[in-house]
Amino acid sequence: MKGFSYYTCADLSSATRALQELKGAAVKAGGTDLMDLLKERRLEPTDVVSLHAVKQVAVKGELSALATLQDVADSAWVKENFPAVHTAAAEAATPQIRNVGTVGGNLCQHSRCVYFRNRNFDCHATGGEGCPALDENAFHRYHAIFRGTHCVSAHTSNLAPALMAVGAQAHCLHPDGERTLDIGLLYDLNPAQGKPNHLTLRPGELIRAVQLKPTPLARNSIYVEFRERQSFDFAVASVAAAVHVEGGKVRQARIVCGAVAPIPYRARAVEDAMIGKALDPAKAAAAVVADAQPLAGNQFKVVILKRLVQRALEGLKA
Amino acid sequence: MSDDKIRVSRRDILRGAGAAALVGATVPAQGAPAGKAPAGLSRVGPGPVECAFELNGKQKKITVEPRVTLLDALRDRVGLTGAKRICDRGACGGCTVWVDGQIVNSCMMLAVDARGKKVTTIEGLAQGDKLHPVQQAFVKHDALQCGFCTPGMIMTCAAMVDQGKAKDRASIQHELAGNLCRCGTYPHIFTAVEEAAR
Repeated sequence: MKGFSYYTCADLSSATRALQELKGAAVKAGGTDLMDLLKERRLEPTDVVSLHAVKQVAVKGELSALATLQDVADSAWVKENFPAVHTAAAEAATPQIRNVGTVGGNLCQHSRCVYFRNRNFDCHATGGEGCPALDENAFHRYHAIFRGTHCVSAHTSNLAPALMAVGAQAHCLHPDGERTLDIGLLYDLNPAQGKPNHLTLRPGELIRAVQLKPTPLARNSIYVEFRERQSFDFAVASVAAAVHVEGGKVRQARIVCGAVAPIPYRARAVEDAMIGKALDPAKAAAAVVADAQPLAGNQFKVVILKRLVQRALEGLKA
Repeated sequence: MSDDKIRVSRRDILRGAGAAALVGATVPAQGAPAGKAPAGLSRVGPGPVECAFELNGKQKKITVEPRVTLLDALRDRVGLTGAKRICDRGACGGCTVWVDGQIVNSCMMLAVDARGKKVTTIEGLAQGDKLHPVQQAFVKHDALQCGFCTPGMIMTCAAMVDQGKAKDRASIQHELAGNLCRCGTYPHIFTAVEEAAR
């Protein structure tokens, strides 16, 4: 790890103003993603701005971006009203990581693509051309089955699909004020060359909190994932789903898949097709994977995703 | 080890060699000059910073660069080598310590972030000669083989027992998901934790 200057602050507005001054600075909350990138020298910032000392302000209906994953997993309010978010947080990583990793950090984590994480490779995200994972002999077992233009990495946030399924929004603080956007709008499928993440956040912009509204849709939500190890692992694929059913007919539906595209993959067309009909998990599952374009080494993920969607929808009250 | 004997460990030799290598090197200045920081922020580094924290019940002051992890600070600066540097990526749990009573991977935490906090390592778990119930149960149930993962295992298990999270075997397994044992001693560890939690 290269040396860096280390900045601490007591409030987020100081941080967001300072980040405009300190061009190229890395932001650190829990640091569990950043430490990896620094150790691998994938990122070599001169300045690191830590949010470690920022005081969290408890606001009803909000999850602070600096709340840890364990805080979310332990919240009875989240468990009751947003079951998908509860499970996604409780199943994320390990107890040690959950005690440190934050909501904001989980949403803003960098790609786990093995080529992006290895500084010996160049790609669109690091300012180069092409994608090493597209080579037919490449190791792309864990890559995307729904692709962007330049990138086939898989977005591995647990929380993002779950928060999207329950209709959560992010309050984002920037030097000129605050804006609120749907969680899905935090992500950009085709970021500019040299941008190491798929976020739409502007320079210096930070997620302050996540807004959660208890709704019938959110209360009837579920998160399921498939991983290769029982203990802990990044999901091979995950699905967060939510439906609001009235009188045997679907009024509202959300299906958001993780680890299958460079950003959380929301199956909007499938959601729309479910409206007004009885919940049909098998039909929806087949429709979600109909557009999949797997790579040579990850065709198995299509089958896994299909079964996860079916399992998720079968787990909801119809 | 008694103080009147001169003993040089392999670790001391490595540390000496590292220090010697550093003497010749100059660290290039980076970023803004020392002390200057944007409004509302305080800045340290990239050079050495004084870090004061409570370590195993005693106040401790060390001087490290901001890039040094808590694990490396504990092992190489303080000399507490119980926490192990195995994967160094937060995946194995061998470096598990408590920070303010919570288990964390000390390899994924900067030492500067421990400033003002309470750090407990495996060396601080027993009260004098009195072992923690989890340590006793590990001995009784032979819950280790090569022993390399054991300090991290015990810190995780002791925290889950103290916090009442070791309710049944399933919850023990869930709470122990971040500690890997490549000898595969898990069944004995689960039994030891079950007994210590009773």
